[in-house]
Amino acid sequence: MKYFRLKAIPFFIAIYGLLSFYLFLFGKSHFKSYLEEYLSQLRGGEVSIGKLSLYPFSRTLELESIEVARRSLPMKNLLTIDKASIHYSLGAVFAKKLHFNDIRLEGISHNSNRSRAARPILIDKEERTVGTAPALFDVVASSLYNHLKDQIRDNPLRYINKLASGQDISSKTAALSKTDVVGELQKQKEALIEKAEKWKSRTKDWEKTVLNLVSQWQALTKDFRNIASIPRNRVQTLTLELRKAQENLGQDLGELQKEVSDSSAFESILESEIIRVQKSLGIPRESGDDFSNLLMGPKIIEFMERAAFWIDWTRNNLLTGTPDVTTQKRDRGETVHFGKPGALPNFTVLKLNVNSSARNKFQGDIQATIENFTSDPSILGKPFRGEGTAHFSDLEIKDMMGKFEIDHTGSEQKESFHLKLSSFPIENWKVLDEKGARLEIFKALIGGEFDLQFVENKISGKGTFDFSHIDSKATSTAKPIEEAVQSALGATPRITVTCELQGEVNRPQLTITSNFGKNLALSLRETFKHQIGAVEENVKHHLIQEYEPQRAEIEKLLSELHTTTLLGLERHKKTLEQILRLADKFIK
Amino acid sequence: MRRFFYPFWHPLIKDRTPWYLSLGLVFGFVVGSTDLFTIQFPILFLLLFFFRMNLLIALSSALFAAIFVPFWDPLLHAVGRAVLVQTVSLRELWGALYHTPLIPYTRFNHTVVMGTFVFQFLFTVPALVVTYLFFSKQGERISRRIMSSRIGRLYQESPFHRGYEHYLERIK
Repeated sequence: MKYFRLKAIPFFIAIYGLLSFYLFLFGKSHFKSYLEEYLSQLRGGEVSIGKLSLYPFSRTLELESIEVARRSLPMKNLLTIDKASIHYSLGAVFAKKLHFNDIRLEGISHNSNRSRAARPILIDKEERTVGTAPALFDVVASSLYNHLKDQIRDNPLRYINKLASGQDISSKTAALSKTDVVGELQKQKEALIEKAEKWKSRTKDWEKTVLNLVSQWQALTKDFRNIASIPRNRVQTLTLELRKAQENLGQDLGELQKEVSDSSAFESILESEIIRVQKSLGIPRESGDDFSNLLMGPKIIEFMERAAFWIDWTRNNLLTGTPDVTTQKRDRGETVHFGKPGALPNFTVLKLNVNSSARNKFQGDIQATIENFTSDPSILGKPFRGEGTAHFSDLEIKDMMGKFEIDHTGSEQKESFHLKLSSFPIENWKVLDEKGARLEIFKALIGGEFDLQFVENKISGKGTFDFSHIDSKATSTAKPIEEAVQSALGATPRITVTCELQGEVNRPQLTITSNFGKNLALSLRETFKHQIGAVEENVKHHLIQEYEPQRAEIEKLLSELHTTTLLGLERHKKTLEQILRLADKFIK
Repeated sequence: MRRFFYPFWHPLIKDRTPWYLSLGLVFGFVVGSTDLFTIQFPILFLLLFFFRMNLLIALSSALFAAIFVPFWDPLLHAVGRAVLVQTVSLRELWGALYHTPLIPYTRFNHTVVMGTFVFQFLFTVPALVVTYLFFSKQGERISRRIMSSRIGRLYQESPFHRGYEHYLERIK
């Protein structure tokens, strides 16, 4: 019986030969199309590559004329790269890994014109679940997103609209004033009664303690008429007891004084209650915090959404840490990755250099270096870092400097980002697009500095931005609001925004303040001063009406606490101090 | 025109012994169930023509497997996952293979591919034995039944078959 079909061999040599020849002729164009489609899907906009050259012997891949189109303007490029040289490791390719020793980018342009309109890209919205834990940035973005969304949903302008249209909101004011304040005061009163009882019993205990110590001292000095004959050790023992009692009594006294002062801060309680009701009604406050959230919040959310998309992409495609086994869901089944200390990471870019000098109005002077970008930082053992500067003088992008470091090599994960720029143009920014008012900035220049740090579960960040050369327009269905916004814009030729972020990753506190937010609040308060004044009086009146009876009772309780307990404790403290002075004199 | 196809038709059906039939059936199934984007697929495809077997059965079996094996993905995924993830004693082996050159191109670390491989490993030899016994005992009987059926008679009376018989005489 024959087992082999030898006649097939020349046939297959011919087939595979033809296939190799085809790949030799057309392989590059297939690869180029695949790469363009993959990058376009990733970006959500067209990415095209002019020319692709592969040099297998020098292990270099060169891409020329890479164009990344802008999504909003099909005839403009967000970025153009004249040449990208990628030096890869062949050994890593055999192990199905991508290891780039060196990548060089030259000739970076921004906002250049395209020869043809970019085609729209339909994004494949296949849902992928991630086998790794959520990244820090993603958790923060989600928390901030929800926090800001809630604040923006509670839009202060909708109430100003009502004031502008002359609607009466006094019934709402009354309802809001009644809701919480009585309950709060009731709780405060009950807490005070409980505290008063507690302090009464503690004062009695102190009375006994002090009496005991005084009688011990008297016994000592009575038995030994000649003070010099009193044994030193007995006096020292008593002195120690006195000092301890004095210390504890001092602490108790401090605690009681604080509780009394907290409970008697009526004016601040009333003040905070008025602010709460005003906020619920959407009355703008002089600090303008809520307007800063309204004006700047949507842009921050947009930034967070974009950042979250890229973080999600890295979590889907690049592993973190060196776990024993991780899995990634695929079309059919799952792919399992096996970590091994000392092995080459799945994906590494050891060094990426960007070197561009301005040769036309769209090109900029860019110098940047990125190092140690890898899917397994703990295997590579080096933090992922980068820094760079960019300057496009014709496009008004000046002195842009960025620096970052992502260190997941050790047990404590750390990430830091720093951005500084003196000028960057923005266009067609819809700052406000509500039913009541619209504010659009057609053109402006932004400059500022931003710093963000993550250390394990803690986040801290600070940013200050200036908007200058502002060309804007404000419109509103209510003429007074339109005038107020225009007036605020006029009063703020240069808008400064400050953001501060602190706290735990799951519950970050974001504070946004801006001089424009403040000026807008002041302008609206001026425009509607009579209506706002009437509302504020209404609020105060309702609160004071509810508050006064409770206040009288609380004041009575505090007075009792002060006279019987606080003063009593102070007297005992003085007694102890007198005896201690005598005892110290004796010891010396 | 028909004469053009006879040199291609002849190699497909000429090997008709029980061994060639069973090898074609089983090996074809293995090739068809192997994932397309792996390094082993082109090698197995080459071997399909290099080893002597009934090519018509082999290619039909490969086509059948390619169409119907994906319906068994959940089972293959479960088996592959059990072998790759849940069998802790084998992790060191998989880890070593994962970082060895060329081995990752077999996609052994994919649960469905591993599940398919496990079934191929377990059932290829028994399937060969069973199909060989079947074809050796029942092959003649089945062949007679097919040829005496309506389709078989139509084929034998067709101009294509008559032309093929002339072709066989010529090449003898």
